[in-house]
Amino acid sequence: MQPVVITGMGIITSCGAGKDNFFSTSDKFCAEAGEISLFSTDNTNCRYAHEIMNLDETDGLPRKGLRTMDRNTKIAIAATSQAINEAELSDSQIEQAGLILGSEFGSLSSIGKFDRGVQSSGLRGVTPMEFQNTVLNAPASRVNITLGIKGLSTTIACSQTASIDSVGYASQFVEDGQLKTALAGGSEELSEEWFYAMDNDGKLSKAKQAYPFYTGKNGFHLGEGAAMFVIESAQRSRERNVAELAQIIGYANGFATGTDEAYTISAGNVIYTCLSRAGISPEDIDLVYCNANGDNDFDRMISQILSAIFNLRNTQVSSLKGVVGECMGACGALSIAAILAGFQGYANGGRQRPSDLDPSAFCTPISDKKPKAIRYGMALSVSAYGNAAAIILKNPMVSTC
Amino acid sequence: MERVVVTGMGILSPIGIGISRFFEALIAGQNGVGPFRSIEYKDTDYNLAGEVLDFEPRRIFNDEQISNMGRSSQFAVAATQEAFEDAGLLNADIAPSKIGVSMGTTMGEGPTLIQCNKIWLEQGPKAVPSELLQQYPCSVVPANVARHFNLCGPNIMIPTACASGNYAIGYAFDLIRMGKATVMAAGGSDSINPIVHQGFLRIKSLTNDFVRPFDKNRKGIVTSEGCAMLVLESYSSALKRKARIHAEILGYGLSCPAHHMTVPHPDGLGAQRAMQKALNNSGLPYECIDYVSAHGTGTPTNDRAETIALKGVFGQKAYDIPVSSIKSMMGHTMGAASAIEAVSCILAINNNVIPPTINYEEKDPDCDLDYVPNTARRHNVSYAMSNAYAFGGNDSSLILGNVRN
Repeated sequence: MQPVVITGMGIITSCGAGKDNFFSTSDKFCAEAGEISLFSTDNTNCRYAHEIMNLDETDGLPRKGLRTMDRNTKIAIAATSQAINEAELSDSQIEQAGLILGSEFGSLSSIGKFDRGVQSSGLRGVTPMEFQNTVLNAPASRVNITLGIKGLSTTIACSQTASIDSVGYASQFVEDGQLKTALAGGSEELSEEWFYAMDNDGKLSKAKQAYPFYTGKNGFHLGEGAAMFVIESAQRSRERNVAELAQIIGYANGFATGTDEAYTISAGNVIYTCLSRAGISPEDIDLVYCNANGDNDFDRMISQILSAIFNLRNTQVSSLKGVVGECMGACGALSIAAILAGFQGYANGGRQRPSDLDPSAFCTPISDKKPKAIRYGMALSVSAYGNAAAIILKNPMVSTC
Repeated sequence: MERVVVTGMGILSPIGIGISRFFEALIAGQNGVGPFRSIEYKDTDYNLAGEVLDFEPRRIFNDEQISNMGRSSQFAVAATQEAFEDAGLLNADIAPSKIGVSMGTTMGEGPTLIQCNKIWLEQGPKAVPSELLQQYPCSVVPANVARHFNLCGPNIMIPTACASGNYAIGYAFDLIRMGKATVMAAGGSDSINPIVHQGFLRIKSLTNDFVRPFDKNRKGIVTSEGCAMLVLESYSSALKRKARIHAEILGYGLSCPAHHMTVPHPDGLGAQRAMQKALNNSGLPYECIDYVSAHGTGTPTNDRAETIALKGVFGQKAYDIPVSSIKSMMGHTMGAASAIEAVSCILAINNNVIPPTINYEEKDPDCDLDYVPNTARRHNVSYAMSNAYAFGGNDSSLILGNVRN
């Protein structure tokens, strides 16, 4: 089995596009969500989301063919294109690469609009092109077609663990020698269907800011975005003389079900399996990005899982969702990106003021102290459906002796 | 590396529920396609479907479970139940918490979204119950299987449309082979879905005739529903608990021609690469393949491209290998198709009989291989290849065989 590394990253969120922009932005503890422009919020409780503005002008998108692409496809193409450029992949390397995209919905907007078009107007209400965008693997496949990636195309949809699972899936292919290069991560668009469902459920925050682990009644904001990574073997990155952003040293996925206690144990077992595969202990983990999002019950569940394993004296714990929103299938990839930011010294992302933290919150409050060097970081995602996934990255620039 | 074997199978299909009934119908060349019966469908020209007509969810679920779970999930749980019983897992020493689920689908719980949209159109988006839409994401299908059987191992949904069963089986195969899991339930599920039916009608891919893969007068597909689940297990675990072994998974291959969303590459390049990778990964020379289960949808373009791809990989030998499409009997069960076809291959291996391509009447000069027309054939099958291709060029090939001592 070959050691696996990340040599390129592309990212787009409501805070902007590109790795450098993300690294400086992710150091914020929170970002205000903006008023939604994609659809009407006239009768909704919440009017805000972390929406990507001026998406069609993003670097990395082709100049032609945008009209037929759904929003999630554009987001995924932009991030993948950036990652390819950073890793300096040649045309033949791109052609041989495999694409693995994590996304919970594909394009829920496309599917929803197609069906409503048929229900209201019959087949005259929809076009053949619109049907192509209704399959859940459409965004990933369109990335393959647009960028000429021919090794393989896979879509993974496991709720909020989708993009950690896609990076894990990709690293397995590289580790095993089935792929020399993989492009993996996650993307998700903001859809009115899911927005209305969460708003109807009372899950969304009515304020402009929503904080994970917050002490008051909070809620979260939906967001959209993508983070994509170039993954290859360590040997190949040395041969190509490209810098390693991180080493992937452990990944695990599982399902948590049953009572709250059983759920906590099952999710904890996923973390322990990941640590075991990485060959390290909980106290070795310097930084955890989890997917707490501002939903009090959800955040308390995550706190319970983490507090059974980690100690805040050794491990900084944070969530990026106050900065980029709840991006569903993309959130794990965004957490991985935040760990890479942490490796570069930007480790304040998503932290809260101590006075704002829920008493049960297991996370690191914002501090004036310079964060310590991060050797090992873990991205963790769990979902209300029961999925749990964890991935551990090692900082190639910090000695672990 | 561990060897990976199949120790259990479960199935719901338009030609029968349960492995025994499915096999009898398969060999008899039974046609499971007919006019829509389970849902009201107003179009009278293209109203054919392959439906699982005698599925009774109340045999497995209570009313509350039925109201909280879409049909694709119900199929998946039912098929997994049969597979676990077949594998003897329900009474085995393997803790359910160690077993994982790997599944594929095209649309997951699409009919749930249709229900939501009906309410949206009649009463506005605020009237759509959020708990109903939260039953829609396709990740709920393997989640519902895991929850029903208390399975805490790896859990994944790979919605690569019509090839997703192969992808899901392949992923489970990799996990076990690399020692990251011991037992996995793997397969695919899709329930009948008007979005899919209307969509294929809109792109003129449906037939209102029989499904005629490789026939000169083939006109297109029929949309269908179904589910198949396999129990994949490490060979050492199966031997240890003296499980009956149906077959061995030898390898699989994935590729993507990056050509077009709905039109296959005219030379079948992605399909060729997937088959070649499967052969390479299984360590089998192409001459060993005794039977190919084709994707064989019955569209003019797919069947022609697939024939070219088979010749590209097998050369002259392609003319000697029986190739059949069981979609001729069931229609296209979407995300379940390649999982059902994997079961069909295992039955072919175990019984040395190849299922036919039915409705085959006239030879197409562009499709000139041996498609086992209309009648099942006795034939020694030690190794079978099962091919599946999807929108966006998600191409796959899976190789199964008799367990070698």
